[in-house]
Amino acid sequence: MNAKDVDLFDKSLALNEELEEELAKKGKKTGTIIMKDEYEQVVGFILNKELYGIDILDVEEIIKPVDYTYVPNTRPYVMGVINLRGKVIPVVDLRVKFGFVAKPITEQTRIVIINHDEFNVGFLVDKIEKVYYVEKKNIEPTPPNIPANIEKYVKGVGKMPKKIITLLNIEELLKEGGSLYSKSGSTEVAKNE
Amino acid sequence: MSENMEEMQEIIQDFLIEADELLEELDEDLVRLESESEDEELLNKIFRAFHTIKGSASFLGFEKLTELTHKLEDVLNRLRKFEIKLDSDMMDAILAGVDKAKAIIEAIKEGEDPEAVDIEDNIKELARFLDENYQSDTSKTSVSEDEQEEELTEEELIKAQEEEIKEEEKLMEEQKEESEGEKKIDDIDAEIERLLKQRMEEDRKRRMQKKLQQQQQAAEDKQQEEKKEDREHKEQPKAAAKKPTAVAQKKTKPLVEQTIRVDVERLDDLMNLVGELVLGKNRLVSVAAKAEEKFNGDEVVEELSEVANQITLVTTDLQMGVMKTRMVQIGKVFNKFPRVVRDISKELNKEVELVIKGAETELDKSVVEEINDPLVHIVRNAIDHGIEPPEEREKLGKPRKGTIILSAYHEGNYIVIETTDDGRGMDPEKLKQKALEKGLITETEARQMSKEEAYALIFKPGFSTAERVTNISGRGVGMDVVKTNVEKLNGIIEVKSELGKGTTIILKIPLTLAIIQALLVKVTKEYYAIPLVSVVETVRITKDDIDKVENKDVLRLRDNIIPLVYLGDTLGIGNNKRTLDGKEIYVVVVAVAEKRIGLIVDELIGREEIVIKSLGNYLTNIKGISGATIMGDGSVTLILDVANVVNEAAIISTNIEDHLIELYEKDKPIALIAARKEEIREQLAPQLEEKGYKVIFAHTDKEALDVACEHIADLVFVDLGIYINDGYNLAKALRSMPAYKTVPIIGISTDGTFDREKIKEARISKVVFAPIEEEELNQALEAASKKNILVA
Repeated sequence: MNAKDVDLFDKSLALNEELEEELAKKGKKTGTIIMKDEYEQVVGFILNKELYGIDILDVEEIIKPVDYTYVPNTRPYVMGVINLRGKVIPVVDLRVKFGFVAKPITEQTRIVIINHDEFNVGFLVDKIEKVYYVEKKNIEPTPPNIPANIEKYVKGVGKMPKKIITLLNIEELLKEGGSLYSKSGSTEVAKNE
Repeated sequence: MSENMEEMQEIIQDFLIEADELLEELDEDLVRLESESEDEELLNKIFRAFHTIKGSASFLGFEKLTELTHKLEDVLNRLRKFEIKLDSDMMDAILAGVDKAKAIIEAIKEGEDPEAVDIEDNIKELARFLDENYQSDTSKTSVSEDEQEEELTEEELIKAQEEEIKEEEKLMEEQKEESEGEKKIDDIDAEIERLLKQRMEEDRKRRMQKKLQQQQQAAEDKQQEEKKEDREHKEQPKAAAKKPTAVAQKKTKPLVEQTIRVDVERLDDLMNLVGELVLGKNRLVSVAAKAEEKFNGDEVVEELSEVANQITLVTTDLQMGVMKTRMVQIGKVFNKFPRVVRDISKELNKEVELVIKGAETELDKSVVEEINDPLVHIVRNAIDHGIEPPEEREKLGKPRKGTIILSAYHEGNYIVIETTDDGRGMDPEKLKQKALEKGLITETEARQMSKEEAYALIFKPGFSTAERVTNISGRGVGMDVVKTNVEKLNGIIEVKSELGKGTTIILKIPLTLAIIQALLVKVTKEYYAIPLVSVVETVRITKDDIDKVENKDVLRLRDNIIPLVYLGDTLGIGNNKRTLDGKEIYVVVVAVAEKRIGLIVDELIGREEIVIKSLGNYLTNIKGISGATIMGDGSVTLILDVANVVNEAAIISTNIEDHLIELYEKDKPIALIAARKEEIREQLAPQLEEKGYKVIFAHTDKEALDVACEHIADLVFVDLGIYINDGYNLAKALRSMPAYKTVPIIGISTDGTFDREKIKEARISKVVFAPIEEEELNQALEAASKKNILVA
């Protein structure tokens, strides 16, 4: 095995007791060298009591809610724009986007700043869990019981020893844009109660 | 090898730029030549321009271009030796030749094969004037000499150019003699002569270095020196005589070019950085002001203010400096117009003289590129529809030749470009009639239209007053193109016209597009920046000043009827928002292109310098919003897309009464509870309902402000710990709204703490502690209802 191919988990980051457990179950000792490309690193967060994940490479940073400026003529899920160190970044309420009931901001609410291609968008989520390592072979296509309005944003479902995590498809999420009159002309407007 | 290639590429680049410049000047000079065909100086200049291009083109192996410019040069050579006389045919052929040369240059630029351009016709046409029959004495010399040049090696070329220099020297010598006939050369001239000689010596040395770039430079320098020399001689005897027209005015470049060419992208980067700096400066200034307020008299604060002031000065200078590097003279655009006017007037059999004023007026490069097309349209229109045919003009007692004046000048942060013709002028009634026929307006609209509005009809798409379709007006494009272009630049168009006397079209355009002055306004709870260039004026009115026309609110401002809309309505955020008290209504009169409307806002905040930032890829095409900026306090403020708002305003109608607080009726007093914690609401609501209040809730401060605009509450409870800003700020924001000046605001402290200073500042009437007991609530209500602002 080439040294370049292996990557030791950073323990301080990986506080992932489930993975440890899993490894233990497989008869491996904790702290063993494992192949990085067998796992996908995702930022796990809670939305409407469910666990979702976004590829860590798409996440620029995670911040606490800040004061935002409302932008007229945008879709209901666009909360507004914020100033992130001189950059103007739109913030999307994922709850509204997925058709859940909007919930007031709490102390646990966070904004996940996404940096994907030329897009810079913040997603408002209920709570950040942690970074999960999802074994690639345990990622399955979207199960049929996922609601239709969320389904298209889902890349797959990752099975972990104790939980399952819904992995989001960033490209699909960003594609629609936030303008009420954007080029896609899609009439879909997330339900907002 | 690759180094050579690079060098070659650079040489070609330089050649292209120079050729562009020369050709541009040629257009202007040639048109001038038509009326001043005896002007030897001019003839020589044109000849030299062709010669320079020819030399470089042959060196670089552009055969077609060499052949073409060679022929042009020959014709000019005969002209300047007065062997033939310039006529209109010849001028057409020369201009066509210049156009073809431009086409070839364009092909080189685009990376196409320049040899693929067909120049056969041009050559044939030009050759006609070189024919023996066209001349009196022989001009073999020049032809044979030039033929030699055709297949030059580099060294030969250099030699040839030296010949050329000598020839030019001789020429100068001649001119000198000429002028000496009139006047002895004085000391200054002698000095210039000496410098000139010295310079030529240098030139010759440099020439040996086989660098084309330098050859060109030398040629250019020569040309300039000579020009200057000529001037010196010419102008001294008749110093009093003014230049005939502004067209003849020519900028004299310094002897040695002290400039460098910079990539526009780099300048853009620099501009962006300056933008960031301006934002930082704004922020520093705002912090300094806050510090001063808080710790007045402190030494450190004073020092901070000083630094802030200095940074402000330096930033302003830097911004001006960077902006200036991006400035170009509008002459760059104007210089094309003698040619444009000539072509169009010729085609339409009209006689037109073009006068250019203020060609030295400078504006940002990005703007220059955008105004060319609109101007061409306006000038075309002026000649086609404005200027009458010569016979008609004579009958009217006007000079046969019509005049078009193009002028530019600065006015604050804008540039104003006026196009005036002395033609027919426009008849508002006829315009209305035409628009009616085309179904662009209704009868009633036509009746209500003012003169200015009628003129503005020419900007409607599909509107054309041309009786017959000419080559120029019949292309399906009209003044609406002008309008779109000017709108894009956030500019304003004004039309003035007098029947029988002429028309003036005035364009007012911001000098630069990256950092702008803006007027900050507030509507409902939102702040917006309106680019100052679009703001005509701001007025304060009362609700009695508002009239109704066809059930739409209008304001009579001096002699104009201005449609009024609530800014919130145009942005779709005004529904049921009651923020106006009817005693003081602020109206911002904005203009876009030719349209004018009055935007009603809640508050005028002030003027600010803002840096335009994009909203990013996710939020493209947002109606009514063109971008955002970051304020001194770090918050984001949106910039209005005034053009869009004005267009939107035409469709919607505002009923001002919907926004007035006074006319708001409710059957029950309303209590607003702004609290994040469910417990507070669950506990308070029943108690209040029992007392006959209608209770409404808000989770966040933003929501609370929204609700507060929709329903004017008679009692407000504010959770001091409410997200995102705290309750104090919410109370402060409410107090700034006319409807909440005296409404009791009760602060709820959930953790037993409160800040006395902040309570005073926010004018919170009373503070209670959660959980709230019935008795406590009653006391609070009683205290608050005295309408005194109490401090707990």
